[in-house]
Amino acid sequence: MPMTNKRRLSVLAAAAVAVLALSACTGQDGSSGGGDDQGPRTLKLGVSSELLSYDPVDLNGGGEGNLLWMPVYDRLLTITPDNGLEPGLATEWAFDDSFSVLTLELRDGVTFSDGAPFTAETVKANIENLKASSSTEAGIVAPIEEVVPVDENTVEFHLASYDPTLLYQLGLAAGVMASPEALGTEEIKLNPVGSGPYTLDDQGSVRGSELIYVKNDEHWNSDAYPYETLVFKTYQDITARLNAAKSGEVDGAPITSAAAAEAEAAGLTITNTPAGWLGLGLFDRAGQIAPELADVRVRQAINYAFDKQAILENVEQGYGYATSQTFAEGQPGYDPELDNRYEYDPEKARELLAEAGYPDGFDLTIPDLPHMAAYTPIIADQLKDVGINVTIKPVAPTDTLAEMFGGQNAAFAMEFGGTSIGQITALSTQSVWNIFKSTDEELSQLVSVAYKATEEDEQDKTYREVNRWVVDNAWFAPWYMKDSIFVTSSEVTVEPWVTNVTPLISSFAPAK
Amino acid sequence: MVAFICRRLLSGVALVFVVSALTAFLIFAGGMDIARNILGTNATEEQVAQRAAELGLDRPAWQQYADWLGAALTGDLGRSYFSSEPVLQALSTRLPVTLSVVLTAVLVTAVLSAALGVLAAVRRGWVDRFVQLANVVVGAIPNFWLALVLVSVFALNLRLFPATGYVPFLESPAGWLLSITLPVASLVIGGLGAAMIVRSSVIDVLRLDFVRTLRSRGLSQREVLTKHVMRNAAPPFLTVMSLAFIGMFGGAVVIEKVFAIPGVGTLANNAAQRGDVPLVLGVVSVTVAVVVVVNLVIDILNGWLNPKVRVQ
Repeated sequence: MPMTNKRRLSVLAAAAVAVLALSACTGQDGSSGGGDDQGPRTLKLGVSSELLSYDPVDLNGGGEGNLLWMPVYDRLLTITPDNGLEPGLATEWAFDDSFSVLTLELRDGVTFSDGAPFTAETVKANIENLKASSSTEAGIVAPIEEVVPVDENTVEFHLASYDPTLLYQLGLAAGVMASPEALGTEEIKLNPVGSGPYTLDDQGSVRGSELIYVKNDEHWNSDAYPYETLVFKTYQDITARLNAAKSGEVDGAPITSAAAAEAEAAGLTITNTPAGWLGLGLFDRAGQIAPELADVRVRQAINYAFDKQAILENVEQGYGYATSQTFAEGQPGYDPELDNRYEYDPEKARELLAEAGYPDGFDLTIPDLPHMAAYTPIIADQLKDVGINVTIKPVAPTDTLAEMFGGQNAAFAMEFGGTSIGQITALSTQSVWNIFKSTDEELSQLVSVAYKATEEDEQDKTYREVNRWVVDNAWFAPWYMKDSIFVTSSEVTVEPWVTNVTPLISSFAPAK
Repeated sequence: MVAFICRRLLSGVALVFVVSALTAFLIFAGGMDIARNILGTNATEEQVAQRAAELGLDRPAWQQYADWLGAALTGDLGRSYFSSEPVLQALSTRLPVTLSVVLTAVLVTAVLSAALGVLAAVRRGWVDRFVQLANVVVGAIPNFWLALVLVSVFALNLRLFPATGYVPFLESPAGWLLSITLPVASLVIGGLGAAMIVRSSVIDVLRLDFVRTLRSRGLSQREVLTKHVMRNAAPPFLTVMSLAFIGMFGGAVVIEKVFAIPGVGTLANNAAQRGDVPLVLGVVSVTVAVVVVVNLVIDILNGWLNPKVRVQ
């Protein structure tokens, strides 16, 4: 019997009803902002990249990674959203007068997820493990010559040289403490063995897609973490991430400025904070491969050539503020006067170039770094306007790092986050960011004074001196301080972490 | 038939070797600084060199490939350079996700395009013209664009389906169906061109003498179509379906991104960008193997439907 049209229609209708019924019975749990079977106190966050390894030597301080590993690992010190320091696994810390010994008093009664106790010996094992590794962070603990356990709860770091960023770094990946038993094993890459406020739910998690953390009620600071469960979902694509936030599948996610208007229209809350400066790095200050850059007037001319406000408005939708300095507002060393030091003035740029002996401009090659591809044409366009003829050199994604740090390029577009002291240490000849190992006696003098500043007033004053020198000598051509943007649903409140891409996990709380 | 299957299997194995060797060659010839990628921007040259030595990346490319091949033949695909996750484990969580989306899409495409093709061939007239026109229009829609529109309409506005994510079938069959509906719909759109193949081959077969004979013997239209015409019209259709499968497997990379589905496409894409050699080689080899097997199944199906194929 052939099926009649009527019957066919009714079958189709039945199928449609079935699908709708299914969608009703599974429910749209996301819109509740909490969760279904995971209890009301679940925080679901979207992130753009996965965490590849939980091995402490593979962790690093930048980007979103913090959000993913900080729940499972305690650090020696705890960083606050305004980049201050609070007790972590160390309850007290102090340098001796000569800054050659750092003494840490350790928290008593802390145990790792494998049951091992946290002691002075644990600190020694972790620091030595990190030092011996080929990790990025090994350089940070390199000045620690020796770790000396004084007693169970006291440890001394004997320093070969004083590094002013050390304390801050002990609040990040370099200060991560894992169970000594697990250090150096393959297993710790997949399963963290820390003492953090949460533990990884290995069974429930799907690596590279969804990580689930459950609260560790034994944690010494358990009260600071209001959520019973944390769920991190990876959305590499910004559209997918935004859709997940809009549909309530996640309670919060980092987004781009281009997506901000859409997020706002969808009723999401936007939290933004200066994450880092963006502009053109002028690295060949001695003119090794681009002789013109050796003249400070040329570097200043380049600074004058960029219409910073216009770039900010057009590329970042105004999320940020135009500036000529690398220090972020509100951070030590920030000088409001320096924001306008090189206000857009192409005429002045041409004058300076003429003074420097380049009335007809000169040729400059800029690599088209894939992650900065949006900015390269802007550089070429704006510099051409003042007479500098830019050749854009194509760069394969896999060659990015070699092109940046291999010393083949006199200047390139860059984005640089971090604290004020991070801006200062990047000037050192030891830093990878000082690509041509530029030095200056006056600057070294100012930096060495700034390094020794421990009090806030003193830091602000000495950092400001360094800042002013760097801006006057145009070591960089910053355009603006770019905001990081994090969206949250109405169910969640969050405080931003200044100079960082994502907030700290302890900064999230259920909305009242 | 057995000889036929053996021949196809052998050529399939050869294909896996060739493709994996080519992949390895492309990675190593690309001059990617894998150790640098692992360690990041701040690592020194010495650290990079040390890590490269640890991973054996300082040896000649052929030697690294030979080592991988030797281990792979014993079933050990190694571990990811970056996460240390065994490659087999990564594949076992990712491949079923992609396959469940792609195979469902192929199935839906097959049913839809067969129905539309037969309808157009039998009815002709305005139905035929409509199906043809619709085919051109639909064929011009890029799947990622369609995916974005579907999410916007059905997930964000109507809230009928989740906007992103994947629910395993075993966890919740209903949730699974809902989570793959939009991705499958986006993939199907690209495969509906097969309806035109069905249409033309059904028209061709309908014109043959044996169909007239069957009709003259009083067989109903339905019997003629299902028992005789479709069986004869099937080979080109099956070939197109096997191509559609390969196409959708590749297209899944984009769809997985839009819907944040943890499939093998995302895995391969990320691994390739990082230079995670064991993972890339593992994904490529297993993917080629899957394609070979699916094609083989379709060939066998073809042989079963059409005895002429078996004879060659």
